[in-house]
Formats: sequence, C-alpha cells, structure tokens
Amino acid sequence: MQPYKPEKVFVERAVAESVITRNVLGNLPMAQVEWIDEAGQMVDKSRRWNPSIARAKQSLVLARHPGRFFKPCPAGTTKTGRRNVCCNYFVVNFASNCHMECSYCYLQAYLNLPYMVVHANVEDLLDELGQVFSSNPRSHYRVGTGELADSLALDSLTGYSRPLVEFFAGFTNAALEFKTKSNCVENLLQLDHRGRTVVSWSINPPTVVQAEEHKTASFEQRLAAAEKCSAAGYPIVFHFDPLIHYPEWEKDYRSLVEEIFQRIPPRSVPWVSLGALRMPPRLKALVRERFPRSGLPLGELLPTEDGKLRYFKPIRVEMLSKMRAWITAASPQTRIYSCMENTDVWQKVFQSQQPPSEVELGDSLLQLL
Amino acid sequence: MALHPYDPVAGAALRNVPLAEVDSKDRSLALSRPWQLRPSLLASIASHGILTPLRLRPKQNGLMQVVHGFRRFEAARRLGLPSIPGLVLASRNLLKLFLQALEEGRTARTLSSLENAAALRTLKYRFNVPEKRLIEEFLPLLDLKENRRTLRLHLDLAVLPDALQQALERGLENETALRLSGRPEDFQSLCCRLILSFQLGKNRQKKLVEMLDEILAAASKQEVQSVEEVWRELGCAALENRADLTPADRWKRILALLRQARYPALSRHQARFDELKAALKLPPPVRLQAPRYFEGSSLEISMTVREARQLDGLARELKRISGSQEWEELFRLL
Repeated sequence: MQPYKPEKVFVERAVAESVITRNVLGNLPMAQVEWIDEAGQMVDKSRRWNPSIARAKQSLVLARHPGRFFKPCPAGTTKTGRRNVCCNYFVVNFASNCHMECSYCYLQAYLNLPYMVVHANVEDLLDELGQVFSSNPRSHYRVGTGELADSLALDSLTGYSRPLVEFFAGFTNAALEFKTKSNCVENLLQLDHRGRTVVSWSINPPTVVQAEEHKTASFEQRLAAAEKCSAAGYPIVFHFDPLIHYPEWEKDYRSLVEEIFQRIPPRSVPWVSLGALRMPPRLKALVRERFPRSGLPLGELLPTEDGKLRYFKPIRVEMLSKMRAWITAASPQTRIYSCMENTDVWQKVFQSQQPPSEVELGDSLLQLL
Repeated sequence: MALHPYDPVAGAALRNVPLAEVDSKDRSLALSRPWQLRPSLLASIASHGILTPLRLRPKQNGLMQVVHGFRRFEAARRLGLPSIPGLVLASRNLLKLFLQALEEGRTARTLSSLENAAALRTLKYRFNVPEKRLIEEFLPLLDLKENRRTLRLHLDLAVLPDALQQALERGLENETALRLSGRPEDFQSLCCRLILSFQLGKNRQKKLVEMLDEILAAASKQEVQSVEEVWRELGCAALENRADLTPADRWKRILALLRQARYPALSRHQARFDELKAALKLPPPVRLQAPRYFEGSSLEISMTVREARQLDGLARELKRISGSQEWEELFRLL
C-alpha cells in the first residue's frame, strides 16, 4: 500500500488535546501544521480553491465530530424508497475520505469536503457507543468504521484502532469490524481483542487490484496481513465486493477463493459478503474522466430500481451464484450473504423463498463470533 | 471633428476608411467568427452598401482596429469594397469601447451563446474583469443565469474548435459540444454529422455520445480502430445512407445496432423475449411487458376490452395458452 503522507495538517483547536491529534502530529514531524478555529471553514476554502480530488487529499484535517457518530448503515435504504436486503449493520464515521484511489469508489461523488478528515474526539465516540450498548443490553450490534473511510489505512498515523479494539473487548452484545484494503495491521497484533473485533478485507483478484484499486495493498499484501491477524486470533472476514465482470472473471475469482481458504483457516472466517459492482450514474461519468483506462464503466451496467447502475441482472445472478458455490465448496461453515441486492436477486442466488429479515441476518452473523 | 450627433465619446469622427488601413487580423474584440457572416447581410451590403458605420480606433501601428462591426467588415472584405464607413473613436479606454460595442450589440439583437461566450472570455482574459463581477454584473446583462457554472460553461464554449462552434449554431447542444471537445476529431465529426442530420434533441445527443464513446473505448481495448471503421463494422454506416428508409427509421435502426453493441447480453435477452412473446400469438388487445431491463420478478399483462363477452373470450384464450412452454421460458428470463 502506498502510505499516506499529507503535505499539510489542519488541526481544529477543539481537538488539540486528543490522543489522536498527538499521535498524528508525532508521526508527521515534517508536515506543515495549521491551527484552525472551526473545520467548517475548510468547506468554504475548498469551494474557493476548488482543488482536484487527488490534490485535496494531500491535506489532512483533524477535527471534532460535532454530531452523532453511531448510525444505521444506509445500504438498505435507497433514494427511490426501495429496500435492499440488509444485514442490520451500524456504522461509526471516525473519518471521511480515503487516500487510496479505487476507480469505482463512491466517495469520489459523495463527499462535500474533498480533504482527508479524521474526527479526533475519540472519547466522545466511545462515550456515545457505551451509552448505546449499555442501554440496550439485549440488542446486538455489528459496528463498522469503513463506510466513509478505510478502517485501517491511516492507523499507523492515528492509532485509532487501539482505543476502539480495547473498548469493544468489554462488550458481549457488540462487535467491531475494521474493513480495509490496506495491510496496516501492526497496531492490532498485540491488543487484547477478546474476539470482539473482526478484521475484514475487501478483496479482488490481483488483475483487478492492479487495474482498478490504485495505491491499495496488493492482493498478496492483504492476504499476508489477514494471515497475521488470523494468527493473532482475530476473526477474519472477506468482502468480495465489488465483483467485477470481465472475460476471465470466472477463472480469476475461483482461484481467488481457493487461495484465500488455503491460506486462512476456514474456521477463522465466520462470514463473507458478496456484492456486484454498482454505482450512481454520475459516478460512471466521473470514473470515465478520472480513470480513462478503466474498463469498469464499459461493463453492461444498467439502471436498477434503486437508481444505481448495476450489471444486467442475469450477469450478477450468475456471478453471485458461482461465487457462493465456490466459497461453500472451500469453506462450508462460512456464512455467505449479499450486500445491497434486492429480494429478487437474493432469492435467485440463495434459492430461498424469502430472504431473512435484517435483524435475523445480523444476529445470525454475530452469533458466529 | 465629431459628426455623429449621438456619439458619447468626444473626438469621434465619421470617415470613409480604406479597407487596406484596417487591421484585418486583429479580432481581439470580436464577438462573432468570420463564418458567422449571414448570407442575407452579405446580399444586403452587396446591394445597398454598409448603412451603419463600423466602430474603429487607431492603433499604434498606424492601422485601424475594429471595435464593433466585424461581420460588416468581413462582408466588405469578401465583396472587395475599397473602403468602409467608420466612426473613428479617439478614446484610449479600450474596455469602455468594448462595453459600448457590447451594449450596442446586445440591445440591437439577441446575442447567440457563442457571442455571449466570446464577450465573457474577452472581459475575463483581456480586461481581467474578476469572476465575481462577471457573475454578478455581466451574466444578468447577457440574460444568463447568475452562477459560476454558467460562467464556466460559456468560457469553455468560447474556446471550442471551429467545427464544434459551427455545429452549435446548427443544433448541437452546449453540454454535448463540451463533452465532445475533449475527444478525437474523427469522433467529434461523426457525432456532429449524426446529431445534425438526424436533428437529435438534447437527451438523444447525450445518449448517442455516451454510447458511441463507450463502444469505441471498448473496441480500442482490443485493437486500435478508427471511428469510421468501427461505425462501418457495426453496420451503421450502411444504414445511415439507406435512401429507402425515412430518417426516423434509419435512426431507430442505428440506435438498435448501437444498443446491441453496447449491451450484448441485454439485447440477446430482449430478442429471446420478443421471440417467445411472438410465438405465444397473444390476441391483439393483450399486451405483455417485461420489467425494465428485466429488473423484477413479474411480467405485466394488460388488455383493453369493450364488453364482458370480449373479456370472457380473451380470458379463455389466455387460459388455453397459459400452459405453453413459451410461458415457462418467459418466466425463466426474469
């Protein structure tokens, strides 16, 4: 993975004393630092400056998150009001934006603030989670940090993983998921996680990583990092998402699945998810502009009921079904679910009358830990 | 000697200026391009001469610079007139002269998008007028929306290649022109030809450019082919010239070929659906519809009836064919 080295760090005075701020500034002794009163002023600055996406990412903003950190994952709700089959996931946005450059990344067309932002008020985050988990002890929570940022890509700078892992180790009704395309796992290896933190990788065959997932850890680096985490006792999860359709996809994805389960003990992998490439229409134009050599926008992507472009239905049913069969053959005990798909496709892929409810699916995954 | 009674600039003089004394290369204040000369203006000047004097100003090199009246000057040049009537302005404040010319132009007629674009570009880059002032003062003056996006659009239009600017005057949409501007010339040329000959509206222009662009990008990944080669291989070139079809039919068939090339799996699926539907021989009042792009698990069947007896007959007919193999396969397509 190409490490992140911002040219400039903007620090909101409100987080001057945060351990995260201390970690970042300590790890970036050469970076230019500017203290700011309020991170909101950066929005105006970006509008005036109007930097390219890549240029803006060279600035890191350490700010206080003023609102709630803890939210239901928005994957199930869609712009058109249609519900996709969902897994009762929750997200905590400890940061927003990602310095890696996956051609298909939806953040390109989603974020208002183009800079890299880390919300350094980790104490507020933990207080909020503690209140949620303690006040609903019978409810179960799978919480991820990888919605608006890669969970671990900046961890060598921020050290955010330590307080989070140690916090979740104290709860039996909640689990934390780090979702990453990096190999930044060194901070995790000595922590007392008590099996309440899952480390997951979004993964694709090496050819796709090389062509579409720029600046990320290579397939080999990701798998080596997963081996380390597995050896440290962490449950390991793989998100085969986004699945990319191209002429050799069957051979490549089948090898991918086989290699993963040859190197990671199947008992360490409680679940995996599947999802075919999808994107809002405006992202397709942006990918064409920013990544003219990418073949992704040239796939057979068509508008679907939730407003997103997806592969033509028979293509994604075939991809998801075959992946399911290969994974089941390699690791029969690993639970498989599909992310952001509609009931119709779910039924075809899982050959079921009705998909499970959100809570059923979420709880069944958590019970595997 | 000031001869023009309404001229706001002191020291202006009305003169007959020999054409050779005008700097024909200096178009720095022009709003129009030479090709924008209308045949009617050329004919009028050929018959009656130039009725309204041009605005000119003396340059340091001894020649005259045209401030306003570039089309009249172009007509005079093409007609080989020896001289033109010109109001020679003494002012050295070029911005003021340009603004007067702009005012005269915009109040006399509606300026085209390209003329607005040229005016804004001249103000920004020649006279360094700040963007804020351009947005707040000049966009409303030109009857344009007062926002940065509109300004950006017009500044970009002003530097489009001539071929695209000419197509703009004939029906190419602004957004399409800008999208084409970054593409190779042969691609621009094919798209403009199709858009203008089939008189495509905004949405169709957008769709055509997007599909062609993606088809060509996919083709170029396999081997480098020229745009026209791909066009021929798709079978579109032959259709484009079919004199026995109406333009609407030609366009419909071209579009079908493009869809087939861009979405092969969907096209095969749709073709099989159409075959099966035809094989069912549904009674004419019954319509069978697949969900859009086959996203969904149900077929829609609708019918129009006028009386109960007709409904009864259609119901019996539908029941009779409901067990056919075609139905089974139609549902499997979903």
